[in-house]
Amino acid sequence: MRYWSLRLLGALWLSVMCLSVSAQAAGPVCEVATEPEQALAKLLDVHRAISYEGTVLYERADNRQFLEVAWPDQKAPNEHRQGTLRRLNAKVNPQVEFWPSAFVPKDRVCDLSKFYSLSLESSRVIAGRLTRKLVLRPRDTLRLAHFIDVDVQTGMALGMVTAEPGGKVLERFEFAAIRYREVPALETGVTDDALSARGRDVIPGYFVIAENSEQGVFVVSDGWATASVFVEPLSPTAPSGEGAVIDGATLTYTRGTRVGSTGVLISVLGEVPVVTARLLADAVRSAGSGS
Amino acid sequence: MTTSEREFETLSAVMDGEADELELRRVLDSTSSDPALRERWRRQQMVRELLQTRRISQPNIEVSSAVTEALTSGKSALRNPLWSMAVAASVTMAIVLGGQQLLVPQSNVMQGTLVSDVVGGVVPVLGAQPIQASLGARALPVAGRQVDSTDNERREVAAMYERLAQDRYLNLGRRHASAAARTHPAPYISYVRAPAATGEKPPLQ
Repeated sequence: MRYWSLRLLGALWLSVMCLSVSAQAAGPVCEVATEPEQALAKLLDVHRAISYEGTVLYERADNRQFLEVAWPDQKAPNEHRQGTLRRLNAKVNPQVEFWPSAFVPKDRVCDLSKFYSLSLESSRVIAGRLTRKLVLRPRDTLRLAHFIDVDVQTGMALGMVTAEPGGKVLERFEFAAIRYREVPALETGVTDDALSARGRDVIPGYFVIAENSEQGVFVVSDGWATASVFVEPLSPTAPSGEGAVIDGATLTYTRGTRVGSTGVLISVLGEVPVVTARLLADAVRSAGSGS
Repeated sequence: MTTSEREFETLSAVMDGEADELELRRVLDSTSSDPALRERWRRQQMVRELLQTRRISQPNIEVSSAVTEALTSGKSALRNPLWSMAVAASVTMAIVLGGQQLLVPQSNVMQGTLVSDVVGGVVPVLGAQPIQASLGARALPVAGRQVDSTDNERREVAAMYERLAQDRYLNLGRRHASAAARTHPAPYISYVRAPAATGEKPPLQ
């Protein structure tokens, strides 16, 4: 990518429309009162207090993977915990991939309860452990539905189904086996605030959690679903248009357009419906165009 | 099949390098008298170049004229059909690729609606196709509808952006995964969703 293009994108930046005042403005204290909210709060914070290793089956359309996961990696220092993942479909010696854990602030539960209807439903046994189904049903058309089998004792997700609001299953995973290990709980405050901070609102229920104007990327979340928006230069003579592909729960949406006199390719990747991706693409505006 | 549809088909064959000498000559003759065919050739070349390089260097160059000129320059070697095809292909490539080294004049910029100024959940985008928010998001064919060149162009643009979406998924999927893992209660799932790193066996089908 040429230097001027990068500079142009930096200048172009964008801002994402602020539909409401920044969330830094103090809101009411989040009270986790109901049983589903408490289960959700425990689920979001579970990696702070547990250690485990297990085998997971992951499925989406025409795709099935067996995984070996462990948390945390025994070799990583306690203050920089990370998990490991190996895709067992690999022929020999599957390479180890690393993943960070999410330490989600407690008030995220209140964000989620505004846009999802929470409920606790039936019980079943997964990998020899009793679970209850925590359901997040979207209150609008901007998100997907999630059905999580949470371990009654530890609060961890042992199974999950992601579906369209109409009920069509997009992907699912479930532990075939799990073994919990002893591990010291992390101190409060180890959380990287910069990574979990709640930025300004972009579209209803979605707020910025990370952005890099130099690279032309920003990431939004509603506290559960995440979408990454990438802005790249495109020839100004390219025809305007849009396209999308869906793989499991992950949508990739592209739009070629012009911002001012610059051709821009906007790519939205996320576990969100198409309408959400379109709204996020709409939110990309040149700094000079106002909002 | 109408005459113009047959010409469009022959043009596609020429661009794919599958046309014979006779078809090439016929297309060149037609382009000299048919602005629509000439425009179609130019647009198809733009789309191909955009797909390959995501840049368009000289959108207003008429490739067909350049090919005709090369074929009729009078050199005997060009009368060999194989030579003719090779020249046609190489002239086209030279014009397209050579143009990438040049800056695009501002006068070549296409004027259109600024999509980002449009507010609303569903954005009317020039050349866009309706997308179904479900597995296999594809435009739905409309039965009994007259297919004209505008429809074909829209389909080409929609197909181009769909392929771009696939490309961005493969290239940016892991970056998105690292961001998504920070809010997901099963963070490893975000990485599993992303395309596997190079060298790994594709997932079971």
